[in-house]
Amino acid sequence: MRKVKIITIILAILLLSLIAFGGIYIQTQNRMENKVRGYQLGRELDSQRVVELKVAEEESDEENTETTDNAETTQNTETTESTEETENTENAENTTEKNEEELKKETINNYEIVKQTIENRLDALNATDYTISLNKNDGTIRVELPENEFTDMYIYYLTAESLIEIKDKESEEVLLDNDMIKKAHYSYNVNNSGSYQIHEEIELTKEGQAKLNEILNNYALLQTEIDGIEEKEDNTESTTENTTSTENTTASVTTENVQNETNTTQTTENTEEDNSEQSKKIANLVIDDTTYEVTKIEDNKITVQIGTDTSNTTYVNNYMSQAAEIAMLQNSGKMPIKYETYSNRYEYSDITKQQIEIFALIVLGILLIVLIVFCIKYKMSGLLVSISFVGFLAIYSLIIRYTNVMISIEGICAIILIIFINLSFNQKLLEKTKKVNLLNEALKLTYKDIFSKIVPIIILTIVTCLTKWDNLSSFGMVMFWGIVLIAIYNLLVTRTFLKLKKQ
Amino acid sequence: MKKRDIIILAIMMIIIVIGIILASTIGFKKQLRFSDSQKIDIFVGQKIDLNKVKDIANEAIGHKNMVQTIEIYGDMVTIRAQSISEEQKNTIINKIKEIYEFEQTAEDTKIENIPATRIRDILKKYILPFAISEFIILIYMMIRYYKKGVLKVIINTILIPLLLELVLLSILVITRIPIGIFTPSLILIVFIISMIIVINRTEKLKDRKI
Repeated sequence: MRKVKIITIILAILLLSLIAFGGIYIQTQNRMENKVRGYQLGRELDSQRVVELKVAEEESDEENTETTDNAETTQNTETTESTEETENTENAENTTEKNEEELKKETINNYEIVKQTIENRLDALNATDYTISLNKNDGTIRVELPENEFTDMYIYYLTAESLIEIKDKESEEVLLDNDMIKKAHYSYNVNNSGSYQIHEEIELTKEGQAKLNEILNNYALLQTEIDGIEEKEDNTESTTENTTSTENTTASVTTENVQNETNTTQTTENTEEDNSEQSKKIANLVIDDTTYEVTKIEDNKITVQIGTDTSNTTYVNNYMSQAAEIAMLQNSGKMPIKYETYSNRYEYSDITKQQIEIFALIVLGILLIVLIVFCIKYKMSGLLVSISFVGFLAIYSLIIRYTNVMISIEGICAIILIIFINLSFNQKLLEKTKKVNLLNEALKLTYKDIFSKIVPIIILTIVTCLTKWDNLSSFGMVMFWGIVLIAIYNLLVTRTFLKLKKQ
Repeated sequence: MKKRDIIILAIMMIIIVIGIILASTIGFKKQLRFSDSQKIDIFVGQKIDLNKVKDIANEAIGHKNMVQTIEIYGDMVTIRAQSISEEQKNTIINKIKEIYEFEQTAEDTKIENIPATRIRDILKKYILPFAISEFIILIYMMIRYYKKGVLKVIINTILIPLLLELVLLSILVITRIPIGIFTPSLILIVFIISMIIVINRTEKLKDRKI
């Protein structure tokens, strides 16, 4: 009976190993397809998207004209100065050199700002992995991103722009520009009628606040104010139309003028106020060429209504995402230079599958030697523990695949660590069962010994599990499932093997 | 402190000092994928045998190169090296043309620059998780081994991982092993080893007399 049990467990392990390492092949559409899920590899091991961003042509032209202007002016000064003393020309050369250096420093600084803005945007979009590099000579920015369903969205936002401006309605003159915007937040509320109102709260810089106060003296920006002015304009238009039509009949009502004269003193005050309001021009808040209604202005904040809708969730969601996009682009920083996508390529890893397989074979080879040593040193117990170890590896590989754990290089490092921890667990268990004749006691001691020592590793595992970075979370997840499996599997399988052997 | 510990500490300090000097003077060596480099893209238009192209690249520009297939169908190849001359470019394209038939000529092919990635950009995402882990581990160690003396435990838990990580980075800079995609894994392994050393050392400490 004991032998039957052992053979049954060995057969189960063999079956699991065949499934895990060989796969289950079923014929589908005239070809054999492995039904066991494959490993999900990270971007260094599989593929990634590489995007190259270059300074937009308009910008680079502007920069060139600026530098050529400087050069021209300096050349001119040089020619005029050539008639003067030579010392002056030397000074002029020095100043132009300094100017050029300063200009270069400024452009490099601007490139750095753009790079930082891109990083902020990717962080705000919760990008799980990226690498950014900058060529300081020409400003080229190279962004490497993992390939997934969000990659195209990330790429869109690398160069996307959001301009918030206050413009004169008639002349389209920009009264307050995007540089005076500090931050933007979005929010929504539901009113009594059940309609959703999505707002964008735009926070201004100190300079922007001063400018806004200036604007508000001459312009109407609030929607209620604008409505009032427009209403009055409509009324005056209609009254002028009326007066022209009634001019012919006014002769008969001259007696009424006497009564009206008494009221004129009261109405003059009102008309003065009306005139001041009417004299105010209208300003619009424009976000990316779309005019929005300003609902509130307080302190240094302008609240804009992005949209409102009652029941249509699609519209509400669209307004929300629009507001979120504006906030994200504003809060991630401003791009002093305009960039455009130069190339967008899907790049396979230079680490080939063959190389990964060779590495895996080397690891398995070392493991095999260790297991043979176990068999020689601990005889039957060693052999059973070794078979149990193979089962552990099979289940572990299946768990990693079916829990959607991404395997990065750090993940591979975690697999090796788990193999090492399980090996030392088994070695300790064999050693203790040899010394202490009671299996349960030996098992208890081994658990205590190993798990008390790996508490810091467990802490690191949990922390890395919770990080958003693919590489680190890969390490954390692989370690997590490994530690859980070590705890459960050895209790169920390895212990049973040793128990059956003892019987 | 034992004599053996003092010797080990002295050796570590020497390595760290040399490492700091080298890092501040010549800096770390970076893997090709993270350093300033040049590349050429060749559109072959059919499935490429990467090994054959790798052999050609090895022959033309030496072994320090990266050969990758690009685009979803893997019919385009990019060859990256520290620097690629016009002559090397011509050799590579002509040799690939001997194996595959494609339109792109050496004249059409542009040598493009790839900017370097800063080491701090590679490693900065690891800093916060490591700091949080170290902080939680420190609290755990203080609670678990409070009988051994809190100060000793704190010093052990902070100094040992820090010293070992510095030794690792110093070895990398001294031996000119390039910083690259394997470096974070090495840092993780050293951190875990250091934690096991911390536990073993702390357990060996005698209980404090209260």
